[in-house]
Amino acid sequence: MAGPGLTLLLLSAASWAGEKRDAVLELLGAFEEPVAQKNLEALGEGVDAELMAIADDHAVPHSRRGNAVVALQFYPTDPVHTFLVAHLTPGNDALLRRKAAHSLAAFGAAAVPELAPSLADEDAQLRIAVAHALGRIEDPAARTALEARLPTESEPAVKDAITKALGTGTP
Amino acid sequence: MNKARWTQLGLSALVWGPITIVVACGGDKDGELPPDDELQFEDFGTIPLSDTGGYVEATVTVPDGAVSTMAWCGGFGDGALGAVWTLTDPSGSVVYTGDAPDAGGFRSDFLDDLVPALIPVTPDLTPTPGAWTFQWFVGAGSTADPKCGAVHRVDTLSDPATIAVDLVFVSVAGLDATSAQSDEAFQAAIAQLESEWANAGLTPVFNYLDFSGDTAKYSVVDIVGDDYGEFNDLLRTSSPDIDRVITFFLVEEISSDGATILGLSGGPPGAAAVHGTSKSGVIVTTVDLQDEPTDVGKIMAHEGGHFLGLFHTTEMDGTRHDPLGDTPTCSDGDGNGIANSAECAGKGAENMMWWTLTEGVATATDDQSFVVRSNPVSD
Repeated sequence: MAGPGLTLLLLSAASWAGEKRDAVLELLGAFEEPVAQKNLEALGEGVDAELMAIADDHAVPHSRRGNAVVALQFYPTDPVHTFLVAHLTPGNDALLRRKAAHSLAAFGAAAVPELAPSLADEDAQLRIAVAHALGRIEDPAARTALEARLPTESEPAVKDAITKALGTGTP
Repeated sequence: MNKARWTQLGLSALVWGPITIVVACGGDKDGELPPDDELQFEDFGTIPLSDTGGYVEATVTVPDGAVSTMAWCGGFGDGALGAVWTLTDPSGSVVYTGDAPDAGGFRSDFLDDLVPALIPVTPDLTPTPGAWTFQWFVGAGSTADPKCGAVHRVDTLSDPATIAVDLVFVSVAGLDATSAQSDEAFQAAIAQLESEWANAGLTPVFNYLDFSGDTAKYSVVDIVGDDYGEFNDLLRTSSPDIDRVITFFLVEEISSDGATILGLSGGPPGAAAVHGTSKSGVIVTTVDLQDEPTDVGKIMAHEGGHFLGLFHTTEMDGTRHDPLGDTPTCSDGDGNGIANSAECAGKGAENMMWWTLTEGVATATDDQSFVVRSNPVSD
C-alpha cells in the first residue's frame, strides 16, 4: 500500500503526464502545420515516450497516431529505432507503416537494410514513402537500393518518387 | 439541410477576351444555387515578367453594386512566390502595402504560382466602384509570364448566404459519390460542417462527384520540401459545371515530408469562381473519417473558411493574428512558443479559424460571417 507521500507523488505525476499528452495531441492535430521539433522540445522530457504511447493508442484518431510516429524522427534513440522497425513490419497498419518509413530516415545508413525490402511491398503508397526516406539518407547503400528498384517498378507514381529521390534527393 | 444533387443544364463557358465579359448562365437547377450571371469577369491577359521576378500591375474596374472583387495574377510557376504588394483605391489612396502587411483592412501572404487578391477580407475595406490599381510582386524562379484577371460579384448580401460545394471523391476508404450520400460517418462529417458554417451564416448545398483523374497518384497528396506540385496539380483539375462553387477534393491523406496535414486550401484566399488553377479549391484528408467523422467536418469548415478569405484568428506561435476587428486574439502566455488551446480558452480557441482542432461546434464572429458571405462564390 503506498503511503500518502507516494500517493501524492503518483497523482502529481499522472496529472503532469495528462497535461503533456493533451499538449502533444494538440500539436499533432494542427490543421496545416506539421509538428516541429522545437515545439516538442519546449514540452520538456518524456515526449518520446508519450509519442510512442499515442501511436499505439487505438482511441486516438488515425491521423494523430500517424503524426506521433512521424514526430519520433526527432528522438533517434535505440528504443525509438526498435519501435519504428516494428511498425514498418508487414501486416501492421498501412498509414503507420508509411510514417515509420519516413521517421527511420533519421537513423541514416543504419536504417537502409530495414527500409530497402519495403521498396518491393505490395502497397504502392508505402513504396513511395520508402523512396522518399531513402532519398533523404546520404549513403551509397540507399542509392543502390533505389537504383535496383527503378527498372522493375511498374507504378508510375512510385517510379516518379524514386526518380526524384535519385535525381535531386529529397529534403 | 439540403443534400440534393443538382442538375446543371446551362452554359458555363467562360470566354476570355480583352474587355469585361459578363458570363451568363441559365439552366434547370434546384433553384438554390448561386446564379453565375451575378458575376462579371475581367481579363488582363498575359503580363511580361522577368525570370528574376518583379512587379505586375493591373487596373481593376469595380462596377457599381459590387459586394466583392477577386483579382488574381498567376501561372508563373510552382517554384516562385508572389504576393499583393500595393493596393490603390479609386481615390488614389494606397490602402495596402506589403511593407506593412498587418497594418490595415487587407492581407496577402506569399503564395506560389498564383496570388488571389480578395476584397473584402475585412469589413474595413470594401470594393467601392471605380478604378483600383492592384500591384503584385513575384519573386525569382518564375517559369512563365503571369496571366491576370478579376471577377466581381454584383449582388446584395444575404444572411444566411447559400454556397455551392462540389465534393469530389478522390480516395475515401470504401466510399464513392453514391455511397457517401447514405454513409453514416460521412453524413456526420457533413452535419458538422453545416453546423459550423451555420454559425458563420453559410448554408451549403452539396454536389457529390467521383474523381475522374489519376486516383493512384492523388490518393496520398505528397508535399516534399517546398515542392507543392502534386497539391497544385490536383487543384488544377477542378472543372465544375458552374462558376460559383467551392471544390473540396477528398483524399486519403495530404503528406508533408511524411506528416499528415489535415487539410489545405488554395490561398488563402482561394481563387473564387476561377477554376483549373493551383488555387481553385480545397483538399481534405479523410483518414480520420471512421475514427472521428466530426473532425473531417471541422477540417472542411476550417479550410473552406480559408478559401473564402479567413485567416487563423491567432497563429500557432501566438505572434500573428487575422486582420479582423472582432475576432478574439491570444498570445503565448507561458513562453513555450505555442499559443495552446488551454491558455487561449475564451480568446479564440473555440473559433472555426483556430490553428488546431477545436472541441464541439466551432464559433464564428460577425466580421468572419461578413467576409465569407461576401465572397464571389457565396450568394
